[in-house]
Amino acid sequence: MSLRLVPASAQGSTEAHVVSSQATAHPISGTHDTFRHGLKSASQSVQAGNVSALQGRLEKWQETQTRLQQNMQRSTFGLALPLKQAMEIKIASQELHNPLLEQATITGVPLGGSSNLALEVLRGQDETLDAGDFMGGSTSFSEVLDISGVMERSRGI
Amino acid sequence: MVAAKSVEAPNIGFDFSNYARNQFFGERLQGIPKATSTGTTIVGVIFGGGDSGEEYGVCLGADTRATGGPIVADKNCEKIHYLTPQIRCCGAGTAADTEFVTNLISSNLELHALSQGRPARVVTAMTMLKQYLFRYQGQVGAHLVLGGVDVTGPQLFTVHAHGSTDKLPYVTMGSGSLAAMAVFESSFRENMKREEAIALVARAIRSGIFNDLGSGSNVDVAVITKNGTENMRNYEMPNERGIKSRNYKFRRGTTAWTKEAVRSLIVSEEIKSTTGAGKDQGGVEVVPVPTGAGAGGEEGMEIDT
Repeated sequence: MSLRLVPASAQGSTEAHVVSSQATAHPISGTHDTFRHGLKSASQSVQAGNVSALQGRLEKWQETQTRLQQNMQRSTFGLALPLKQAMEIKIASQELHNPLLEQATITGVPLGGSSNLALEVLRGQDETLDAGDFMGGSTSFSEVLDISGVMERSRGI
Repeated sequence: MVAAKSVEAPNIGFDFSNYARNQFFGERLQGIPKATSTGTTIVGVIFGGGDSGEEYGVCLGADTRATGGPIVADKNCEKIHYLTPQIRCCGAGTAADTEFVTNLISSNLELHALSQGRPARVVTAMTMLKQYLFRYQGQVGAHLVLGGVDVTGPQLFTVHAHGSTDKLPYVTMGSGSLAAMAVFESSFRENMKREEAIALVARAIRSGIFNDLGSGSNVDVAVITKNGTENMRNYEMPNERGIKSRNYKFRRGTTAWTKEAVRSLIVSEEIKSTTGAGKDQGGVEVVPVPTGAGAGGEEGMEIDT
Protein backbone atom coordinates (compact mmCIF):
# COMPACT_ATOMS: atom_id res chain seq x y z
CA MET A 1 0.00 0.00 0.00
CA SER A 2 1.85 3.04 -1.29
CA LEU A 3 1.91 6.28 0.67
CA ARG A 4 3.79 8.16 -2.01
CA LEU A 5 3.55 11.96 -1.76
CA VAL A 6 4.75 12.87 -5.23
CA PRO A 7 4.57 10.86 -8.47
CA ALA A 8 7.56 8.64 -9.20
CA SER A 9 9.95 10.23 -11.67
CA ALA A 10 8.07 9.28 -14.75
CA GLN A 11 9.62 8.38 -18.01
CA GLY A 12 6.90 10.24 -19.77
CA SER A 13 3.29 11.24 -19.87
CA THR A 14 0.01 9.54 -20.57
CA GLU A 15 -0.57 11.62 -23.67
CA ALA A 16 -0.09 8.86 -26.18
CA HIS A 17 -1.12 10.99 -29.10
CA VAL A 18 1.93 13.24 -28.83
CA VAL A 19 4.24 11.89 -31.47
CA SER A 20 7.76 13.16 -31.33
CA SER A 21 10.49 12.50 -33.82
CA GLN A 22 13.51 13.18 -31.65
CA ALA A 23 15.07 9.71 -31.93
CA THR A 24 14.55 9.53 -35.67
CA ALA A 25 15.13 13.19 -36.47
CA HIS A 26 16.72 14.28 -39.69
CA PRO A 27 19.91 16.23 -38.85
CA ILE A 28 18.90 19.27 -40.91
CA SER A 29 15.13 19.61 -40.83
CA GLY A 30 14.37 18.03 -37.46
CA THR A 31 11.42 16.11 -38.83
CA HIS A 32 11.08 12.35 -39.05
CA ASP A 33 13.79 10.88 -41.29
CA THR A 34 11.97 8.29 -43.37
CA PHE A 35 15.01 7.49 -45.46
CA ARG A 36 17.12 6.41 -42.51
CA HIS A 37 14.53 5.03 -40.12
CA GLY A 38 11.60 3.95 -42.21
CA LEU A 39 8.00 5.06 -42.02
CA LYS A 40 6.74 6.85 -38.97
CA SER A 41 5.29 4.54 -36.32
CA ALA A 42 3.44 4.99 -33.08
CA SER A 43 6.15 3.34 -30.99
CA GLN A 44 8.38 6.34 -31.52
CA SER A 45 6.28 8.50 -29.26
CA VAL A 46 6.98 6.44 -26.15
CA GLN A 47 10.74 6.52 -26.38
CA ALA A 48 12.54 7.97 -23.40
CA GLY A 49 13.68 11.51 -23.92
CA ASN A 50 10.77 12.33 -26.17
CA VAL A 51 8.56 13.68 -23.44
CA SER A 52 9.25 15.97 -20.55
CA ALA A 53 9.50 14.52 -17.03
CA LEU A 54 7.65 17.55 -15.69
CA GLN A 55 4.64 16.76 -17.87
CA GLY A 56 4.37 13.24 -16.46
CA ARG A 57 4.69 14.58 -12.93
CA LEU A 58 1.94 17.15 -13.44
CA GLU A 59 -0.44 14.69 -15.09
CA LYS A 60 -0.04 12.13 -12.31
CA TRP A 61 -0.16 14.65 -9.49
CA GLN A 62 -3.89 14.63 -8.72
CA GLU A 63 -4.07 10.85 -9.02
CA THR A 64 -1.15 10.40 -6.60
CA GLN A 65 -2.72 12.71 -4.04
CA THR A 66 -6.07 10.90 -4.14
CA ARG A 67 -4.33 7.54 -3.87
CA LEU A 68 -2.38 8.76 -0.82
CA GLN A 69 -5.57 10.02 0.78
CA GLN A 70 -7.41 6.79 0.06
CA ASN A 71 -4.60 4.66 1.50
CA MET A 72 -4.45 6.73 4.66
CA GLN A 73 -8.22 6.59 5.05
CA ARG A 74 -8.18 2.84 4.51
CA SER A 75 -5.58 2.30 7.23
CA THR A 76 -7.33 4.68 9.63
CA PHE A 77 -11.02 3.98 9.07
CA GLY A 78 -11.12 0.70 7.20
CA LEU A 79 -12.06 -0.20 3.68
CA ALA A 80 -15.66 1.01 3.81
CA LEU A 81 -14.92 4.74 3.76
CA PRO A 82 -12.65 4.94 0.70
CA LEU A 83 -14.85 2.42 -1.04
CA LYS A 84 -17.90 4.57 -0.45
CA GLN A 85 -16.10 7.66 -1.70
CA ALA A 86 -14.95 5.87 -4.83
CA MET A 87 -18.50 4.68 -5.44
CA GLU A 88 -19.86 8.23 -5.09
CA ILE A 89 -17.26 9.59 -7.48
CA LYS A 90 -18.13 6.91 -10.01
CA ILE A 91 -21.83 7.76 -9.76
CA ALA A 92 -21.19 11.48 -10.09
CA SER A 93 -18.97 11.10 -13.14
CA GLN A 94 -21.52 9.22 -15.18
CA GLU A 95 -22.15 11.05 -18.38
CA LEU A 96 -25.46 12.33 -19.61
CA HIS A 97 -26.88 11.08 -22.84
CA ASN A 98 -25.92 14.12 -24.89
CA PRO A 99 -22.47 15.71 -24.55
CA LEU A 100 -23.93 19.11 -25.40
CA LEU A 101 -25.88 19.16 -22.17
CA GLU A 102 -22.66 18.95 -20.20
CA GLN A 103 -21.51 22.32 -21.38
CA ALA A 104 -22.87 25.22 -19.46
CA THR A 105 -22.07 27.91 -21.99
CA ILE A 106 -22.54 28.19 -25.71
CA THR A 107 -18.85 28.51 -26.28
CA GLY A 108 -17.84 25.43 -24.37
CA VAL A 109 -16.65 24.30 -20.95
CA PRO A 110 -17.22 27.00 -18.33
CA LEU A 111 -14.26 28.76 -16.77
CA GLY A 112 -13.33 26.76 -13.72
CA GLY A 113 -12.93 23.55 -15.63
CA SER A 114 -16.07 21.50 -15.55
CA SER A 115 -19.81 21.78 -15.37
CA ASN A 116 -20.07 18.75 -13.10
CA LEU A 117 -20.31 20.51 -9.74
CA ALA A 118 -21.06 17.33 -7.80
CA LEU A 119 -17.91 15.68 -9.04
CA GLU A 120 -15.83 18.71 -8.12
CA VAL A 121 -17.30 18.79 -4.61
CA LEU A 122 -16.58 15.07 -4.13
CA ARG A 123 -13.01 15.55 -5.28
CA GLY A 124 -12.59 18.57 -3.02
CA GLN A 125 -11.82 20.87 -5.95
CA ASP A 126 -14.89 23.08 -5.80
CA GLU A 127 -13.28 25.94 -3.87
CA THR A 128 -9.85 26.13 -5.48
CA LEU A 129 -8.59 27.20 -8.85
CA ASP A 130 -5.67 25.56 -10.58
CA ALA A 131 -3.63 26.35 -13.68
CA GLY A 132 -5.69 23.86 -15.69
CA ASP A 133 -8.93 25.67 -14.91
CA PHE A 134 -8.16 28.81 -16.81
CA MET A 135 -5.43 27.77 -19.24
CA GLY A 136 -6.14 25.33 -22.00
CA GLY A 137 -2.67 24.01 -22.65
CA SER A 138 -2.93 21.69 -25.58
CA THR A 139 -6.72 21.32 -25.27
CA SER A 140 -8.98 24.05 -26.46
CA PHE A 141 -12.02 25.34 -24.66
CA SER A 142 -14.00 25.72 -27.87
CA GLU A 143 -17.41 24.26 -28.50
CA VAL A 144 -18.14 20.73 -29.59
CA LEU A 145 -18.33 20.78 -33.37
CA ASP A 146 -18.50 17.07 -34.15
CA ILE A 147 -21.23 15.69 -31.90
CA SER A 148 -21.42 12.39 -33.77
CA GLY A 149 -17.72 11.86 -33.22
CA VAL A 150 -17.97 12.57 -29.50
CA MET A 151 -20.94 10.24 -29.11
CA GLU A 152 -19.16 7.47 -31.02
CA ARG A 153 -16.04 7.80 -28.91
CA SER A 154 -17.89 7.82 -25.62
CA ARG A 155 -19.76 4.63 -26.52
CA GLY A 156 -16.81 2.93 -28.12
CA ILE A 157 -18.41 2.57 -31.54
CA MET B 1 -27.75 2.94 -20.78
CA VAL B 2 -25.25 5.37 -19.34
CA ALA B 3 -22.02 5.85 -21.22
CA ALA B 4 -18.77 5.72 -19.31
CA LYS B 5 -16.45 8.59 -19.89
CA SER B 6 -13.22 7.68 -21.60
CA VAL B 7 -10.22 8.10 -19.31
CA GLU B 8 -8.30 11.17 -20.21
CA ALA B 9 -5.44 12.95 -18.49
CA PRO B 10 -6.53 15.93 -16.39
CA ASN B 11 -5.93 19.28 -18.00
CA ILE B 12 -2.60 20.47 -16.61
CA GLY B 13 -2.87 23.89 -18.22
CA PHE B 14 0.54 23.83 -19.88
CA ASP B 15 1.31 22.57 -23.35
CA PHE B 16 4.40 20.36 -23.70
CA SER B 17 4.01 19.42 -27.36
CA ASN B 18 7.07 21.44 -28.39
CA TYR B 19 9.36 19.74 -25.88
CA ALA B 20 11.04 17.35 -28.31
CA ARG B 21 11.37 20.04 -30.95
CA ASN B 22 13.02 22.38 -28.43
CA GLN B 23 15.44 19.65 -27.36
CA PHE B 24 16.38 19.18 -30.99
CA PHE B 25 16.96 22.91 -31.47
CA GLY B 26 18.92 23.05 -28.25
CA GLU B 27 21.36 20.52 -29.58
CA ARG B 28 21.72 22.36 -32.88
CA LEU B 29 22.23 25.79 -31.28
CA GLN B 30 24.31 26.68 -28.24
CA GLY B 31 21.64 25.44 -25.89
CA ILE B 32 18.00 26.00 -25.12
CA PRO B 33 17.39 29.73 -24.51
CA LYS B 34 16.39 30.30 -20.89
CA ALA B 35 13.43 32.41 -19.90
CA THR B 36 14.88 35.83 -19.12
CA SER B 37 14.47 36.61 -15.47
CA THR B 38 14.26 40.09 -14.06
CA GLY B 39 16.86 41.54 -11.76
CA THR B 40 15.17 42.95 -8.69
CA THR B 41 15.54 44.16 -5.17
CA ILE B 42 12.64 43.32 -2.88
CA VAL B 43 12.65 43.63 0.91
CA GLY B 44 10.36 43.22 3.88
CA VAL B 45 10.59 44.17 7.53
CA ILE B 46 8.40 43.76 10.62
CA PHE B 47 8.03 46.83 12.82
CA GLY B 48 6.06 48.08 15.79
CA GLY B 49 4.99 46.59 19.08
CA GLY B 50 7.13 46.42 22.20
CA ASP B 51 8.71 49.69 23.32
CA SER B 52 7.87 51.61 20.19
CA GLY B 53 4.33 52.15 21.41
CA GLU B 54 2.93 51.66 17.94
CA GLU B 55 0.90 48.78 16.64
CA TYR B 56 2.49 45.91 14.75
CA GLY B 57 2.96 46.05 11.03
CA VAL B 58 4.89 44.85 8.02
CA CYS B 59 6.69 47.15 5.61
CA LEU B 60 7.46 45.85 2.11
CA GLY B 61 9.62 47.56 -0.49
CA ALA B 62 10.57 46.96 -4.09
CA ASP B 63 12.38 48.65 -6.96
CA THR B 64 10.58 49.22 -10.25
CA ARG B 65 12.89 48.06 -13.03
CA ALA B 66 12.05 45.04 -15.18
CA THR B 67 14.95 43.77 -17.30
CA GLY B 68 15.00 41.39 -20.22
CA GLY B 69 18.63 40.36 -20.34
CA PRO B 70 20.71 43.54 -20.73
CA ILE B 71 17.77 45.72 -21.75
CA VAL B 72 15.38 47.50 -19.43
CA ALA B 73 11.96 46.22 -20.41
CA ASP B 74 9.88 48.34 -18.05
CA LYS B 75 11.13 51.46 -16.27
CA ASN B 76 8.29 51.63 -13.77
CA CYS B 77 6.72 48.25 -13.20
CA GLU B 78 4.84 47.21 -10.08
CA LYS B 79 6.43 44.43 -8.10
CA ILE B 80 4.26 44.54 -5.01
CA HIS B 81 1.27 42.36 -5.84
CA TYR B 82 -2.08 42.17 -4.11
CA LEU B 83 -3.13 38.95 -2.43
CA THR B 84 -5.78 40.00 0.09
CA PRO B 85 -6.59 43.41 1.59
CA GLN B 86 -4.07 42.72 4.37
CA ILE B 87 -1.51 40.57 2.59
CA ARG B 88 0.90 41.70 -0.09
CA CYS B 89 3.54 39.80 -2.03
CA CYS B 90 6.69 41.18 -3.68
CA GLY B 91 7.88 39.11 -6.63
CA ALA B 92 11.35 38.52 -8.06
CA GLY B 93 12.35 36.16 -10.86
CA THR B 94 10.43 35.67 -14.08
CA ALA B 95 7.90 38.51 -14.22
CA ALA B 96 5.09 36.52 -15.86
CA ASP B 97 5.47 33.71 -13.35
CA THR B 98 5.26 35.99 -10.31
CA GLU B 99 2.27 37.80 -11.85
CA PHE B 100 0.29 34.65 -12.59
CA VAL B 101 1.14 32.83 -9.39
CA THR B 102 0.12 35.78 -7.22
CA ASN B 103 -3.10 36.27 -9.20
CA LEU B 104 -4.00 32.60 -8.88
CA ILE B 105 -3.24 32.41 -5.17
CA SER B 106 -5.12 35.68 -4.61
CA SER B 107 -8.23 34.12 -6.19
CA ASN B 108 -7.83 30.97 -4.15
CA LEU B 109 -7.42 32.98 -0.95
CA GLU B 110 -10.62 34.90 -1.65
CA LEU B 111 -12.53 31.65 -2.23
CA HIS B 112 -11.01 30.20 0.92
CA ALA B 113 -11.94 33.25 3.00
CA LEU B 114 -15.50 33.17 1.67
CA SER B 115 -15.91 29.51 2.51
CA GLN B 116 -14.36 29.83 5.97
CA GLY B 117 -16.14 33.04 6.83
CA ARG B 118 -13.00 34.75 8.14
CA PRO B 119 -10.11 36.70 6.55
CA ALA B 120 -7.32 34.50 5.19
CA ARG B 121 -4.11 34.18 7.16
CA VAL B 122 -0.63 34.80 5.84
CA VAL B 123 0.42 31.20 6.54
CA THR B 124 -2.44 30.07 4.31
CA ALA B 125 -1.07 32.15 1.47
CA MET B 126 2.43 30.84 2.14
CA THR B 127 1.26 27.22 2.17
CA MET B 128 -0.72 27.61 -1.05
CA LEU B 129 2.27 29.24 -2.76
CA LYS B 130 4.78 26.65 -1.61
CA GLN B 131 2.59 23.70 -2.56
CA TYR B 132 1.97 25.15 -6.01
CA LEU B 133 5.64 25.97 -6.65
CA PHE B 134 6.89 22.59 -5.38
CA ARG B 135 4.63 20.81 -7.85
CA TYR B 136 6.40 22.56 -10.75
CA GLN B 137 9.90 21.70 -9.50
CA GLY B 138 11.16 25.25 -9.76
CA GLN B 139 10.17 25.67 -13.42
CA VAL B 140 7.78 28.43 -12.32
CA GLY B 141 10.46 31.01 -11.55
CA ALA B 142 8.82 32.97 -8.76
CA HIS B 143 10.86 34.12 -5.77
CA LEU B 144 8.53 35.93 -3.42
CA VAL B 145 8.54 38.01 -0.26
CA LEU B 146 5.18 37.53 1.38
CA GLY B 147 4.06 39.83 4.18
CA GLY B 148 0.85 40.69 5.96
CA VAL B 149 -1.02 41.17 9.19
CA ASP B 150 -3.72 38.77 10.34
CA VAL B 151 -5.31 37.68 13.62
CA THR B 152 -2.06 36.05 14.71
CA GLY B 153 -0.07 39.26 14.21
CA PRO B 154 2.46 40.45 11.62
CA GLN B 155 4.00 37.71 9.46
CA LEU B 156 6.84 37.86 6.95
CA PHE B 157 7.91 34.93 4.77
CA THR B 158 10.09 34.25 1.76
CA VAL B 159 9.10 31.63 -0.79
CA HIS B 160 11.68 30.35 -3.26
CA ALA B 161 10.86 28.94 -6.70
CA HIS B 162 11.42 25.35 -5.64
CA GLY B 163 8.97 25.65 -2.76
CA SER B 164 11.16 26.31 0.29
CA THR B 165 10.06 28.99 2.74
CA ASP B 166 11.60 31.00 5.57
CA LYS B 167 9.99 32.96 8.37
CA LEU B 168 12.11 35.95 9.41
CA PRO B 169 11.81 39.45 10.87
CA TYR B 170 13.60 41.03 7.89
CA VAL B 171 14.14 39.57 4.40
CA THR B 172 15.56 40.55 1.03
CA MET B 173 15.33 38.76 -2.34
CA GLY B 174 16.41 39.28 -5.91
CA SER B 175 19.70 40.18 -7.53
CA GLY B 176 20.06 43.24 -5.29
CA SER B 177 19.38 41.25 -2.12
CA LEU B 178 22.97 41.39 -0.90
CA ALA B 179 23.14 45.17 -1.17
CA ALA B 180 19.82 45.52 0.64
CA MET B 181 20.70 42.93 3.27
CA ALA B 182 23.89 44.82 4.07
CA VAL B 183 21.74 47.84 4.98
CA PHE B 184 19.41 45.70 7.09
CA GLU B 185 22.16 43.91 8.93
CA SER B 186 23.68 47.17 10.06
CA SER B 187 20.55 49.17 10.84
CA PHE B 188 17.71 46.79 11.70
CA ARG B 189 16.44 46.68 15.27
CA GLU B 190 13.32 45.18 16.74
CA ASN B 191 10.25 47.28 17.55
CA MET B 192 10.95 50.14 15.17
CA LYS B 193 8.50 52.96 14.70
CA ARG B 194 6.61 53.17 11.43
CA GLU B 195 8.60 56.10 10.01
CA GLU B 196 11.86 54.43 10.93
CA ALA B 197 10.80 51.23 9.20
CA ILE B 198 9.78 53.07 6.01
CA ALA B 199 13.06 55.00 5.99
CA LEU B 200 15.04 51.79 6.49
CA VAL B 201 13.18 49.97 3.70
CA ALA B 202 13.63 52.92 1.32
CA ARG B 203 17.34 53.02 2.15
CA ALA B 204 17.70 49.29 1.51
CA ILE B 205 15.96 49.55 -1.88
CA ARG B 206 18.07 52.58 -2.81
CA SER B 207 21.13 50.55 -1.97
CA GLY B 208 19.93 47.83 -4.36
CA ILE B 209 19.05 50.39 -7.05
CA PHE B 210 22.46 52.06 -7.03
CA ASN B 211 24.64 49.01 -6.50
CA ASP B 212 22.94 46.38 -8.63
CA LEU B 213 22.59 46.56 -12.40
CA GLY B 214 19.39 44.56 -12.44
CA SER B 215 17.53 46.97 -10.15
CA GLY B 216 16.77 50.58 -10.78
CA SER B 217 14.26 53.40 -11.26
CA ASN B 218 12.00 54.13 -8.29
CA VAL B 219 11.20 52.84 -4.83
CA ASP B 220 7.76 51.36 -4.07
CA VAL B 221 6.71 50.90 -0.46
CA ALA B 222 3.69 49.17 1.08
CA VAL B 223 2.88 49.40 4.79
CA ILE B 224 0.46 46.83 6.23
CA THR B 225 -1.11 47.12 9.66
CA LYS B 226 -4.15 45.49 11.17
CA ASN B 227 -6.26 48.42 9.98
CA GLY B 228 -5.31 47.98 6.35
CA THR B 229 -2.64 48.56 3.75
CA GLU B 230 -1.13 51.78 2.58
CA ASN B 231 0.40 51.56 -0.88
CA MET B 232 3.03 54.20 -1.58
CA ARG B 233 3.67 53.80 -5.26
CA ASN B 234 6.86 55.59 -6.31
CA TYR B 235 7.57 56.63 -2.72
CA GLU B 236 11.01 57.85 -3.83
CA MET B 237 12.15 58.64 -7.34
CA PRO B 238 15.94 58.92 -7.15
CA ASN B 239 16.36 58.40 -10.89
CA GLU B 240 14.42 61.24 -12.45
CA ARG B 241 15.30 61.89 -16.05
CA GLY B 242 17.37 65.08 -16.33
CA ILE B 243 16.47 68.03 -18.53
CA LYS B 244 18.48 67.93 -21.71
CA SER B 245 21.00 70.75 -21.85
CA ARG B 246 20.85 71.36 -25.60
CA ASN B 247 17.90 72.03 -27.82
CA TYR B 248 17.42 69.59 -30.65
CA LYS B 249 14.83 71.53 -32.59
CA PHE B 250 15.74 72.98 -35.96
CA ARG B 251 15.18 76.60 -36.80
CA ARG B 252 12.53 77.21 -39.42
CA GLY B 253 14.35 77.88 -42.66
CA THR B 254 17.22 75.44 -42.04
CA THR B 255 16.22 73.60 -45.16
CA ALA B 256 15.34 75.79 -48.13
CA TRP B 257 12.12 75.09 -50.06
CA THR B 258 10.76 76.39 -53.31
CA LYS B 259 6.99 75.92 -53.00
CA GLU B 260 4.62 75.43 -50.09
CA ALA B 261 1.08 74.05 -50.16
CA VAL B 262 -0.76 73.10 -46.97
CA ARG B 263 -3.96 71.07 -47.19
CA SER B 264 -5.86 69.95 -44.14
CA LEU B 265 -7.07 66.37 -44.47
CA ILE B 266 -9.85 66.88 -41.96
CA VAL B 267 -12.35 69.45 -43.19
CA SER B 268 -14.47 69.49 -40.07
CA GLU B 269 -14.98 67.24 -37.08
CA GLU B 270 -17.83 66.99 -34.66
CA ILE B 271 -17.65 65.09 -31.41
CA LYS B 272 -20.86 64.02 -29.73
CA SER B 273 -20.48 62.97 -26.15
CA THR B 274 -22.76 60.00 -25.58
CA THR B 275 -23.11 57.08 -23.23
CA GLY B 276 -25.08 53.90 -23.64
CA ALA B 277 -23.75 52.06 -26.69
CA GLY B 278 -23.23 55.22 -28.69
CA LYS B 279 -26.92 56.03 -28.99
CA ASP B 280 -27.76 59.69 -29.19
CA GLN B 281 -28.79 61.01 -25.80
CA GLY B 282 -31.07 64.00 -25.87
CA GLY B 283 -29.94 67.05 -24.00
CA VAL B 284 -26.20 66.47 -24.38
CA GLU B 285 -24.28 69.29 -25.96
CA VAL B 286 -22.38 68.67 -29.15
CA VAL B 287 -18.85 70.08 -29.07
CA PRO B 288 -16.98 70.69 -32.32
CA VAL B 289 -13.29 69.88 -31.92
CA PRO B 290 -10.73 72.15 -33.66
CA THR B 291 -8.66 70.15 -36.08
CA GLY B 292 -5.00 69.61 -35.41
CA ALA B 293 -5.39 69.32 -31.67
CA GLY B 294 -5.11 66.08 -29.76
CA ALA B 295 -2.30 63.79 -28.72
CA GLY B 296 0.83 65.03 -30.40
CA GLY B 297 -1.26 67.20 -32.68
CA GLU B 298 -0.57 70.76 -31.77
CA GLU B 299 1.88 71.23 -28.98
CA GLY B 300 4.27 68.43 -29.81
CA MET B 301 4.92 69.56 -33.35
CA GLU B 302 7.02 72.62 -32.75
CA ILE B 303 9.22 73.46 -35.68
CA ASP B 304 10.31 76.88 -34.60
CA THR B 305 12.59 77.35 -31.62
